[in-house]
Amino acid sequence: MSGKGTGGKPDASGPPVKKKVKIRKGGKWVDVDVDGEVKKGRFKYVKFVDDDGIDTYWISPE
Amino acid sequence: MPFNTGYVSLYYGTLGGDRSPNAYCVNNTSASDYGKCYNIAVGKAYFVQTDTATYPTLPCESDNTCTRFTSTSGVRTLATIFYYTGKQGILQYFYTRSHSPYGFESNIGQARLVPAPSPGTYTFFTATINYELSSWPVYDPVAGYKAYFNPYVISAGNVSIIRWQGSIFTTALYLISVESSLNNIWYAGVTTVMYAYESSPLAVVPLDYDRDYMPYQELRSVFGYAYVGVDQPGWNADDIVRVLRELFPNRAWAVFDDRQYVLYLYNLTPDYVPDWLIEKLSPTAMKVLKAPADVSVAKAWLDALNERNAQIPAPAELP
Repeated sequence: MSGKGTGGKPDASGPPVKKKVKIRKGGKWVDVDVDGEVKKGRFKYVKFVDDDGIDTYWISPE
Repeated sequence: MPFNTGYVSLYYGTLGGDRSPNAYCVNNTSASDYGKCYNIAVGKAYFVQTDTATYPTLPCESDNTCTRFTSTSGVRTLATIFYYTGKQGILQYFYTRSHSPYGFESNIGQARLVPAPSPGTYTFFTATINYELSSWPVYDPVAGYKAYFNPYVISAGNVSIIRWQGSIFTTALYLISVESSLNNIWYAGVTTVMYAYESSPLAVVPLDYDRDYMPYQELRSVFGYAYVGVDQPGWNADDIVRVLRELFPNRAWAVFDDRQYVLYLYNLTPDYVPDWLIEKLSPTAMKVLKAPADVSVAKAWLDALNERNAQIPAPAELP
């Protein structure tokens, strides 16, 4: 429990639950845990850490 | 995609879309406003005056409306539009307009003081001399070349316009002006060039051609140079990344892999990638090889790219 003081409700927030998104990668649909989204021009990208450990922005299927 | 389109507009004092452009300078040495340039809309005009004793500083230099040359030149290279090592570009179209004290020589034989693209160090676009003499605008259907002389009036000097479309394969393209070693001249101009090149991995980094690109054999081995800093094709994205890491570890740059459609970002995040670049490349993914430790580095990359790919708004529609 990480709440401060006493008498208050316990802080129920654990690690934030990441949104899962399916992306088309290497010819297959892959589930990724998304850290955020960014819009560029007509395109929307979802952010996640790829298998190679690099911060990656992948075009959103939505 | 087998080919990409390269597009560049270079502005030397006057706009392409201006309805009534009237950029001019004063080269009458008796005039009280000698050396002053007027109605400079974007960029700077050019002024050649070799006499630095009598004219140490011209008014247009002081007010930042001209670039002065203190030596004369037969044919002056104003810019390198592209320089592709091991690749070819295909020049397809250009439009160029200039204001200057001179017009065309003979008929359309030699366009003096009209900045024009040249695939080499000589004036290539010299359509048939004396073709359709005294008939403006001149159109040479064989060369795909159209020339206008004084289609509108400016306060001082002449207006020359060339439009060309065709196909020339070349590894290098320069923007040149035929100055014929004249002194005490000025010119303002705008040039738009379209060309194609084989789809390839690209180095997206605006470089100074003389300082950053030509001195490095390593760069010239892995990708070509383009004024716009985007259409710089190479053979292999990994090679481009490796060389850029080595030579420019503290600058921002990007590399586009046209096979995976991945845009690699170095000292950059997607926040600094302009929308027009995303529209042009349409990457499937962006990968941050290194986040910027100093945002000014990323901003310098963005500012330089935007400057070299100026999106000049079209003039307002007619009522």
